[in-house]
Amino acid sequence: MAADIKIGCFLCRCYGEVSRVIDLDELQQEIIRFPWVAFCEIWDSLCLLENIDELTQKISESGTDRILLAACSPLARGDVILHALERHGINQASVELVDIREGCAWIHDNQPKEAMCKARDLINMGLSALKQREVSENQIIVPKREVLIIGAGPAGMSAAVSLARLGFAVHVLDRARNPGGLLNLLKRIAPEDIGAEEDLHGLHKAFTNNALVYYHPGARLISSNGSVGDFAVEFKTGDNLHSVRVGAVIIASGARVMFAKGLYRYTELDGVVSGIELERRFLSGDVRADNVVFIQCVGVRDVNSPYCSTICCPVSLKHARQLKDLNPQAEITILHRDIMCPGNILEAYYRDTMQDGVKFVRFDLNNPPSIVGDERLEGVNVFESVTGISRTIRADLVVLSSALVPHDDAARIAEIFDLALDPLGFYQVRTLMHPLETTRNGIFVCGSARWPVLARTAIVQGEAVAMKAFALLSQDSLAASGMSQFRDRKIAHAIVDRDACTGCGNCVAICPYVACALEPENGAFKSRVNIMRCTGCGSCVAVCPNGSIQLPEQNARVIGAMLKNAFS
Amino acid sequence: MLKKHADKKPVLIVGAGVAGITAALDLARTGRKVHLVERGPVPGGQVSNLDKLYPTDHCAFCPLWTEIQACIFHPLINIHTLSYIVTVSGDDAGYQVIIGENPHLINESRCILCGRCVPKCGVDAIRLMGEHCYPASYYIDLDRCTRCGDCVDICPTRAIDITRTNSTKVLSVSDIIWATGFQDVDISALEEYGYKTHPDIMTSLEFEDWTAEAGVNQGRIMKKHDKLPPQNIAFIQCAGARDRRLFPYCSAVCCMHALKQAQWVKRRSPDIECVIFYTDMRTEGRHYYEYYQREIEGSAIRLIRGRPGLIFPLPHADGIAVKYEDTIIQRQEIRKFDMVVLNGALRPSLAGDDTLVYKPPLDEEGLVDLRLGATKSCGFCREPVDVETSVIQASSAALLTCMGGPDDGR
Amino acid sequence: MMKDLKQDSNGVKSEAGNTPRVIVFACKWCGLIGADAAGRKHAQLPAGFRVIPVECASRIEADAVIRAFSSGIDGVIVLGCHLGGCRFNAANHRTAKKLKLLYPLLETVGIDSKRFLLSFGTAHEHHQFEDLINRFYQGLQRLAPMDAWSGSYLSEMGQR
Repeated sequence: MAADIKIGCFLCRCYGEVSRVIDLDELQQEIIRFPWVAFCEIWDSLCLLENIDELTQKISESGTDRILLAACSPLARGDVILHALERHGINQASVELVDIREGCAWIHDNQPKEAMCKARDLINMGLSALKQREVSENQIIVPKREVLIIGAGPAGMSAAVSLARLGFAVHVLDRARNPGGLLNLLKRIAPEDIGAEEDLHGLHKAFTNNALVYYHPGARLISSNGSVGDFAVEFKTGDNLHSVRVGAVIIASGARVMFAKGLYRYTELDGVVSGIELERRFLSGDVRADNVVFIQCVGVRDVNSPYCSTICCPVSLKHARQLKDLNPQAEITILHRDIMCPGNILEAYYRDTMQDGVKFVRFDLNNPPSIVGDERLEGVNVFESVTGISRTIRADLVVLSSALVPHDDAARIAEIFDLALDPLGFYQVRTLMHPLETTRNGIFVCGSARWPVLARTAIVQGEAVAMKAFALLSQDSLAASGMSQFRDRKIAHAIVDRDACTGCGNCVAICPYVACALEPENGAFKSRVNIMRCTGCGSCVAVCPNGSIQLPEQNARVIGAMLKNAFS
Repeated sequence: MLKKHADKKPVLIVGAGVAGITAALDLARTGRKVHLVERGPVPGGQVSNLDKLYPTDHCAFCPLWTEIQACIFHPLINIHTLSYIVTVSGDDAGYQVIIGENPHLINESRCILCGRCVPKCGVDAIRLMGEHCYPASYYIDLDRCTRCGDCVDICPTRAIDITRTNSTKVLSVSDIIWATGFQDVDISALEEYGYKTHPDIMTSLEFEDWTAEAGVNQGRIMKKHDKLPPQNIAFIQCAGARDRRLFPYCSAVCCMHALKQAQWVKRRSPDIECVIFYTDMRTEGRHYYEYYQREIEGSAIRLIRGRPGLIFPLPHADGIAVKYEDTIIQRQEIRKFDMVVLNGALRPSLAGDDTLVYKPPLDEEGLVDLRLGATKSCGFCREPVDVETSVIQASSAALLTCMGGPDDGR
Repeated sequence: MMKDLKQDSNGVKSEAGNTPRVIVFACKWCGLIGADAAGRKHAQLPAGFRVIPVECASRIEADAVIRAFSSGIDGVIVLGCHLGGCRFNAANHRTAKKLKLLYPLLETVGIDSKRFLLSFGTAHEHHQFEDLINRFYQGLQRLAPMDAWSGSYLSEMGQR
């Protein structure tokens, strides 16, 4: 097959930028002698608008199936040419861009002879790569336009309602019997300071009344197969087994409240309660206390749990304000290490709470406060790091801020979807520009399952993942070649030569995207690549003991040929 | 359902920073046409100017570049750089927006980066915007250009046209999403910080530029006034922020930003002492506390709780005096530092730019007024937030344009 | 096919002034961005290196490096993104672990480990690409050529 390849070559003078250092005419004469080169033309430029039309015309008329462009760096104008060719139907994988400007002429201006050798070599490498290059198989599917959402807290409900309003059917799995998640345990929401019921009424109503939201209370996830565009998921409600096929999965399973076992004499003294308990008391009736001390960073921001649970400071401020509302004379002190109220809204919340007369005392990690009292709570002793004074604050109620920790379920759900958890137990997501996406295309995480968040943020995150799922599933079709994690198409995906594969499993272990799996075949195991998941990184190729897994566009023969032709 | 959506009028996104780009790509991928209006010459915004990002410690270029590239090559996204909003009329049912465009005197789609025009310019107006501007092109600084035309003929692709002038365009759009971000602030009015009294007292963004790998000093840490390596650097948090005189809000990003800068100083020059003067070390975001722990424990960056009361250049010696209260030893101290980095004051761009012809209603802090429900916004112009949150808000704002507004009282 | 080699004053055999032959496996992200930066600046570099771009440094197997050496190449550089910045879900971490083994391994097959360089950095640090190449070349100049002794396999196997 390689022998039949005909390559069309275009050398770019770049209006002299290349040709003043490298003799393109000489190169042309050499290149045209290779039997596998159909033609070799020299152009002044390849990247301008007027060039592209001519270029594509020439390529289609010539009948060549591979193109070599010797021009500038992809970061300069190279990408422009490749994209333009793509738009005219010329697959990027059949074009090799050789950089003889930034990669040769411009860095060897003062060594023209050597630059000439190098340009010759680079073009030879490009030609030999093209000859050996094969084409990855593709797979095109029509995505299922339904979405699975795990969790019906504010994040899950928000995602569900958003998608339903866009016309997508959503299946919402909930461990609980009623939607709302952690919000069902709250009286008031911070920092908006409005009643939980009142605030979420609209969301709750939209969730319950939308015909496209299929709510499954008391559900348990059983299994999942497939990839983006087509996930086959099984779950149980009671004894009934359900099967759905969805195009995307949104994990909004939330977090659970930490039980402050063994901390600050919790459960030993009556007056020491946790934040969530206080919340419960507000729900069932008024809470009156005259001297209240809050302790922050309970069970977190230490060696065992090196993270900040984000919500505890705003929640304690909320509780302090609620207590003040009920008893304006109450003496309230919040013992903290830092007050985590970034931004404008939370900073203003903090400021207003201070102005309401709530006091703030800072302590350090190495010198935490201690509870004073034998049979009965008397107060809290704190070493104030700002003044360097140790004192005991009278208290008839001590509130230990409740941190959020990952659900016990997270590991099981992660395994079902082949997802990773971070060292703390929250779902691992990508960073920066893709904060709600996992490394598995089509599976998103939002809300406290990803990281502890306040209700309003959870709702915004639910909307955001809905948008991501919408953008994904509104395509007419999804192609494996388009399933790159970060560009609109990927160049290659791996393929296994099943005759050669020994079933060692190296590729399965190393694939960052869990795209390889061993399948039984005639008593042995063979690896198979799920090309919808594969991103073409090549990690598997590098660990395969006999080269049975390859990236067709950059297989071992390509690398070998490039090495062989690197120095003439 | 999907057909109907793609037929809707385009969405206008103001600002092509991380938030604007994210919203644009989300919408374009659903088949919606987008106009992305950016006042700078290239997309990317503030984040693309940063040397490193937290918590990845990676440069900003790579993650952003693929997104910008996707925007540029997406057929449904129209990017208008050097552009600004002139007027907005209409309402939720549809807006007529007039945008003004300052001319790109060099046509980016024809610039092949040969650079022959640069030496021809007598006023040094032609340059590349940053080492890795994207798209790659030379730019003529309109403020400096005298329109003499000496550069025109030398360009082999005839990319330069100095006769271009401002133009306007009318866009008919269904929604406007504000994603205009933040800008640096001159806090010399807050005299205690000593800004502009000494070349080595600078804002954190100036310090980022000064010490950038891809910047003028190629990552070397040195004092501005004598180009020698400093012995110590003071990072002053909340300078101008959480301050009723200037910005009552907390800028949300500075604590992590200072930690990142300090640890990169230590990485490059372990002998430089770094001290961070802070009020609250806000590391509440995802994995931020781990970053903080690693850097504080790993590289001996010193944290002192307390906002320095006075910073001034030493009158008879080389250096800057920082006066503060050391709460551990309970005493007022004055220490000499070679460099001082002021972290804190970041102004929403909409509030800070007096040249802007049109602004949406802003609240007292200069942020887009959220009390007016119809105005969609994301990122710092909405509330001080980090990159991840900006990007999440952008997707959420994009969603709202697909639905024609929230219905749950948000 | 033996070329007409002449020995220059550094003791490095060069062909008509061609400097030591080096292969650079560069990932298309940080590696190439760095190389491009050097190009954009017209940084003048030794002309003996050839860049082979790959999607991710994790594509490079130890095998490719060793075969490069056995085909007569004087030095191999593998450039990948900063550990923490690999867009392929930290695939470069595994590359780091794997290819670091080459340093001692190469010595056992008679190849000085200074002929191999594994470098992870951000795109901006590879703006130091020129420094990296120059320093690598300086290192190579100090080494005796690969087939300097008659006892070396290479001269007999006619690979050069």
